[in-house]
Amino acid sequence: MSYLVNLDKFYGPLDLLLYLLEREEIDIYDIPVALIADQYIDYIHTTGQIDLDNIGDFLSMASYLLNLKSRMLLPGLAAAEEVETEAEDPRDELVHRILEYKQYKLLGEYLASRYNDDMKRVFFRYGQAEINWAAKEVSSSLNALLHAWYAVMDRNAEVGEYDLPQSIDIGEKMEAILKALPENGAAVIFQDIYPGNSLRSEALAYFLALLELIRLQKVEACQEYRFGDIKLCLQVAVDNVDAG
Amino acid sequence: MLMRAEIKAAIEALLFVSGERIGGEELMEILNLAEADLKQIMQEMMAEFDQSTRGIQILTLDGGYIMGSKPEYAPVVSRMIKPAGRRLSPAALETLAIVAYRQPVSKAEIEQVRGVKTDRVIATLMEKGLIKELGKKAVPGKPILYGTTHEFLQLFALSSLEELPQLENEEGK
Repeated sequence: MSYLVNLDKFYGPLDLLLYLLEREEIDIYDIPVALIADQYIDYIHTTGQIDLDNIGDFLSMASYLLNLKSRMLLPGLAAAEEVETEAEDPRDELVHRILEYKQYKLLGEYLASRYNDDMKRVFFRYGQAEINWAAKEVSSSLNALLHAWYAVMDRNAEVGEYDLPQSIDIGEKMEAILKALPENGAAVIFQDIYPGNSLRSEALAYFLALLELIRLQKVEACQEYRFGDIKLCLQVAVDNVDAG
Repeated sequence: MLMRAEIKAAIEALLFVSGERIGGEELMEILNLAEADLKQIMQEMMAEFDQSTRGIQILTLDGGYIMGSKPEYAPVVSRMIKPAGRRLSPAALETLAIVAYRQPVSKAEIEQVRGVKTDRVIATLMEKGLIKELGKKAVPGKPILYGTTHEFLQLFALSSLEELPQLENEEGK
């Protein structure tokens, strides 16, 4: 089997399972666990790259399927099942989870249909949470940040006569930026954070520190209009989100 | 005390100026109206807006009211407003669906249904104002409970959560 499949295409192990069941046209209440477990594991094998962040959830489902497969093989259980038809099928939990997942997946698609249907859309004065999005989206615009940085550099065109070698710590600059931003999430203009009399290399360190903070989602950068000032503020709401 | 027609005109002015959802209680307070009266007046107003040839309608939104364009004129309006960059990933939509139906719901419960980590999706939805924290669950670790916002209903043009399609065979929870 040499087809390359990207696990990213699936939004989780249940999504992949659902896909397999549908492809094989399997009755969800009578899943051939051995077959599905093998196919599932094949899929994971053929993904090529392993993304440790995502693969964990897929692997834990794989081990669950194998466990289920072995439980299905136990003769004691099979015998018991024949006697009392009411005996619990070890697959019940899996069926329940897949059905539940499928339902929410369909509901997600229903929501998408409501909101992608431009022809029947209702427009509101303040957009449909769109304005909000646009302002935030800029945090990923590197160009806007670079632009601001060049503006800072222009302001400090007079560079020191000698460039003395000095060690510059980006971590230190990150702390300096964090300290300069008010706790309450109020915005500060990027150009103001940066001390006006620093050397170019130090300025660069500030810029790198800022990029790093944005990457870690500790600081948010917004720009209200094109070429306007870039405002920075502490990102409060997502403190507890791990950066991975 | 204002005449009925004047009350309607006043409500129209308020909704127009606000541009956002105005809660029922707020309208009652501003206009000094009883709840039953307001409801009846709003019913009449909504019908009047619907029946006459105008581009605006009044919609109920989570116990409040908001003005929006009529769907018939969406093609025209979208010529002016480019629907730029509004895309939610399937993962985000799934998560929204779970929050909408199960709220108040914790991250762990969402992950249980989806079978994957959901931190980033939740952070995005919070940032876009589609979900909010409702409080903490009274279990060890005090996980945060999430629910949907007015903006969620508005985005999907739902007047309330009841308008969402019924879950099939949902056992009482």
